[in-house]
Amino acid sequence: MLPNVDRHLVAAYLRPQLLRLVVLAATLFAGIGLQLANPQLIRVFVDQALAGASYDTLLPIGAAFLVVAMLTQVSTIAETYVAEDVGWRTTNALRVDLTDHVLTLDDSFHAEHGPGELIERIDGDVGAIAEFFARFVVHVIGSGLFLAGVLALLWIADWHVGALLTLFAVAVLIFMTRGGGFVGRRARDARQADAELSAFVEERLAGLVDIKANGADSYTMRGMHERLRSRFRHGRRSALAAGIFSNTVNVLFVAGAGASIAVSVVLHDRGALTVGAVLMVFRYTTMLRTPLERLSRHMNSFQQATGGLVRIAELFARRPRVVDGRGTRLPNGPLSVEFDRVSFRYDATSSQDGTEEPTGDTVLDEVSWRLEPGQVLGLLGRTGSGKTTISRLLFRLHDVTAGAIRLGGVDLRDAKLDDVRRRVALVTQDVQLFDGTLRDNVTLFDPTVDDDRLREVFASLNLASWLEELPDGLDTVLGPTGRGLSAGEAQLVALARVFLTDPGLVVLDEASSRLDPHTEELLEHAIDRLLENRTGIVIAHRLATVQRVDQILVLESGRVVEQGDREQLAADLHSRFAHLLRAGLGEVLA
Amino acid sequence: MRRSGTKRQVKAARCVGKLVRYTSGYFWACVGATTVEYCLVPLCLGLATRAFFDSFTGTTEVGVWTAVAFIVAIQLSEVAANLAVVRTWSGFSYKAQTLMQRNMFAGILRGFGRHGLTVPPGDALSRFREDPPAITQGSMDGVCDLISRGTFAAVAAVLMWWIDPLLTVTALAPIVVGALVSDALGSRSRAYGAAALDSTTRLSRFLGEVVNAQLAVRVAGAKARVVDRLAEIGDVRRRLSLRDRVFAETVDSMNFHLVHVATGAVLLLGAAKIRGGAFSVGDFALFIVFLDQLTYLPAEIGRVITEMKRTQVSVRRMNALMPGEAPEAVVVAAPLYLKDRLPAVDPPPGRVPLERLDVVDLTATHPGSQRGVKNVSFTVQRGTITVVTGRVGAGKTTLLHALLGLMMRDGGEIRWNGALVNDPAGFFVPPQCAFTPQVPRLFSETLRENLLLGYPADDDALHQAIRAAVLEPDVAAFDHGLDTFVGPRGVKLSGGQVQRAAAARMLLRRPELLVFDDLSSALDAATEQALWSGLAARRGDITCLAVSHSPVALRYADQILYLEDGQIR
Repeated sequence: MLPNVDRHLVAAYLRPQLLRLVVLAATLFAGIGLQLANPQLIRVFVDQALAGASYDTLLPIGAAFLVVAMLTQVSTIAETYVAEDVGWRTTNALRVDLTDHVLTLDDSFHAEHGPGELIERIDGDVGAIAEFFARFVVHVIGSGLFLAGVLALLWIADWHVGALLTLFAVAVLIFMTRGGGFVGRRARDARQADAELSAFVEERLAGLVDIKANGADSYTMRGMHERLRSRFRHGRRSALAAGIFSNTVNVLFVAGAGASIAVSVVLHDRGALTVGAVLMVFRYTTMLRTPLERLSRHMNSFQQATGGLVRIAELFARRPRVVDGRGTRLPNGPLSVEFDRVSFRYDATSSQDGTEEPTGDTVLDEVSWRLEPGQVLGLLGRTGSGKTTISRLLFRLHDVTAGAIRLGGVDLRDAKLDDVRRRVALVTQDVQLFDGTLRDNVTLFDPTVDDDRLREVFASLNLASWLEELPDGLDTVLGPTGRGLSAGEAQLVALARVFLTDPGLVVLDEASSRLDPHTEELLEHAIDRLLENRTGIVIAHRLATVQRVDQILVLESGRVVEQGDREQLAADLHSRFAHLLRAGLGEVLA
Repeated sequence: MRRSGTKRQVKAARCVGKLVRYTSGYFWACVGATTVEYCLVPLCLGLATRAFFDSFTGTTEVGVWTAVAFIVAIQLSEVAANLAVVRTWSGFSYKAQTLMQRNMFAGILRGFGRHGLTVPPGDALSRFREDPPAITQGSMDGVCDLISRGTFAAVAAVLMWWIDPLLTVTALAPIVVGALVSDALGSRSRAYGAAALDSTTRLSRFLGEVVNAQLAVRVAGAKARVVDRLAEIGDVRRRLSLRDRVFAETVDSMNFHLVHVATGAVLLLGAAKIRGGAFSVGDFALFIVFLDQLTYLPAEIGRVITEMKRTQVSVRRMNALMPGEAPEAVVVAAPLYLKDRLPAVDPPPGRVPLERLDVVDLTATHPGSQRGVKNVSFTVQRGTITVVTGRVGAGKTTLLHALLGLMMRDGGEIRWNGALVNDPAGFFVPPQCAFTPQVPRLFSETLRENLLLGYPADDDALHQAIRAAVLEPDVAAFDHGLDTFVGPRGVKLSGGQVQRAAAARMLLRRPELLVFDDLSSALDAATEQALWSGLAARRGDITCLAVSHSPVALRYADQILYLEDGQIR
């Protein structure tokens, strides 16, 4: 029924819930027993009443009927509780693991799958299979047992009726297991259309300024209508497919029920069944409907869940191209950096998705350079020359195609990824703030960092007064629902993040490019403090940013075209660096 | 959050009414089909079952086989009815959902200049995804079911009364009591429901932030902590959702249990009558069939009451995305093009050549903070370059946004050739003006579509713009040139490429006024130089208003506005 991978996935997440599943099974079985008893009581009651029994005989039967009904309800509630609990626990675990996995995957994955799609996978698909985890396994077993119980009691009442209804139940079940495939395909299409709609909206909401400012309202509405229409069509098609499927099951069932009534009538005429027994058979026949419908409904939710499960399994199957190293420790203190004939290109399979700089196949071509511990390197070059790629390689967001990168003499591929990312820090332009306190945003949810340490960090950044001005200090809520920060302020928060981690190598990717002179001054001091006794790589488009560096590396189309000591290069009239300085010197001094 | 008090009361019933009217074909067909399934079928089934059992005991003329044939025929019609229900139900629910989503999106677009996005994007997306189906599958579905179940209840009660009034009262009393009790518990159940929904929103928002910040989280090695936080939020949701669900189940279950009490009472009271012959076994079977169906009614009533309240919350949540519009804006009828051709893209408005732009005493403040610009006045002459500069937080971006109507201004005048501009958001669009924001966004389309965004420009204009934006070498290097897909949010391009693409997008519209916010922040010196000298070469022909700290930009400027604390110094 389930593809192998999916079965393993389900099993892996249900195993920790074993105890709860046992309790769930127990409540379920109790409920089944109670429900099966109900028609028996009716039969006895009717036969007794018709035979002219006294109230003394009838009253206990009526009372028993009520008690049975009440217990049935109690077991139903208990079952709901446990089943939902299992459902939430398993899907929570799945959601957490998926997020963890997604954050483990490297850039070749993230270039291909945007935030909207990932939310749909982690939240949407997992949500769709919540019902599956909550009820599927136990309900299928429960309904199966209930079915078996009803059939057994029908066999006891009369074997003709029992045999007939058993045959029908089997026929219905066979149909259900065979016929569900197309329902699943339709459901998958529908979810896909839904995901596309969500992705469209998510992206456009992030780009509202761009849309308005370019007068693209009606164009965007047209795109919206296109996605809405596709969702409408696929959603309805999927609902219809499910409806046709379940109603075919119903038709089969009506045929079975009709036959069973006909047989009971004949048996009554022959005196094999009492009126009470006919009423009981009738009740049981009606009761067959519930487990069969439940099974058929679960087949549907199962099909939907399969769609989600397949996509989730696919996601889990994505291996990061970057494999964790065997664990050689990076040395303490400032790290030396060495690029040893490093070549890099996005491999053929991902060339359509992974190329953020599609300026040809080879992004870096035999790049070699070395930076001593504590030195600062300025990386210069046009956009697309490979600067961003170098910073990404330093974090092992990709692996080199040829050559080696060594930090403190250790090949990056030999070190643990966690170690690399603890010892190397990145400051980017775009700083995403979390809807949380300033403390959470600086520590990235690390509760072990105490407030004194944080204040110290802010003090080093000359931000002590800024911090004091905040209404709730470190507890000020930032991000979308809280206090908004300007781009510059957000970058200061990012710097504080880096300060905290005490890295051995700092990569500044244009950290100061969007700042005004005042904030730049502020940062100047902060960055100087940060680079004190640390190795630094400053990726800059502006010459002003380069003033503090010791070494210069100029890249062009993935090749090193110049490298050396900044002061020497500046003095050499024929160097590219000197040329760049001359071209931009007026501006630098302005 | 802006709330303007009582005059914006949303009437859930009116909203549902509007949706019903909008989808009336599907909806009433669905009511019809549901009435067959939930009313006609059980009524006939009750009567046929009664005839069937009475034919045993000889209390009726109807033959056993006729009754059996009836039962089978009735159940087959139920199947047909159910198929019709699925068809029509999916019709109205998807159509109504589409309408609300369309209106929400259109409303956000329409009101963006006045209000911006009133909630974080992740939150807006969750309202977009969750609220419309909550209404269609809640209130609308509930009303549809209630009509059919209510009809059944009325007819069934009359029939039962006709068979035996005393037993009817005995059977119905517990059901009525149950309905009253569950209504009394309603407010508590709603509170639980709201808490569960809140925790869901919180989780979605956090998840959205995490996937958006994936790079930062990964390189900071903060994965484990972020994932722990997610687990924590998930566990809170589990507890709140469980409480909500179990409470609801208990109330429902009580109703079902009361039906069994009713059946028991009928059994006991009926026993004597069966013996006396006044009440037949068939009558008893009919009572059981009817009671089974009647069980659903109180639950249905309770559900519709709850769902109506939920609908009110949902409508309010959706309307909060478009403040200033009518309370029922989200359910207003609008064309959906589900079957007809999509509408053509609106042509741009006529060109009004710029002579001079006057900004007088412009004042704008960010809601919830004191920051913004105060009494800013300046004039931009045709064919000049004006550069706005100043510290972070000085109000440079605010100035541009307030001028262009991308945020609300608190005061001041904007004059285009001396004529007052009342609706800047509507006026400052191409070909009058185009704008490139500080962090431009591209969409998951081809580069060409990203540049055009539906603007009617020919290839010539496109290529000129690409050249002017220094994007030509990049386009030449792309595998598919202009038809290259740029990936979600343009991630396949580098930061500089996105900025230059945005500049090309602005230039190809050949606007009277070019406005850009720190265009060069992701460009290297050479590219920036090329871009500015290209613009300066066409000075006299084009008019520029730009935020920049770049020395290159300042060198080319005819006019420099230095902002400090929201004022020109």
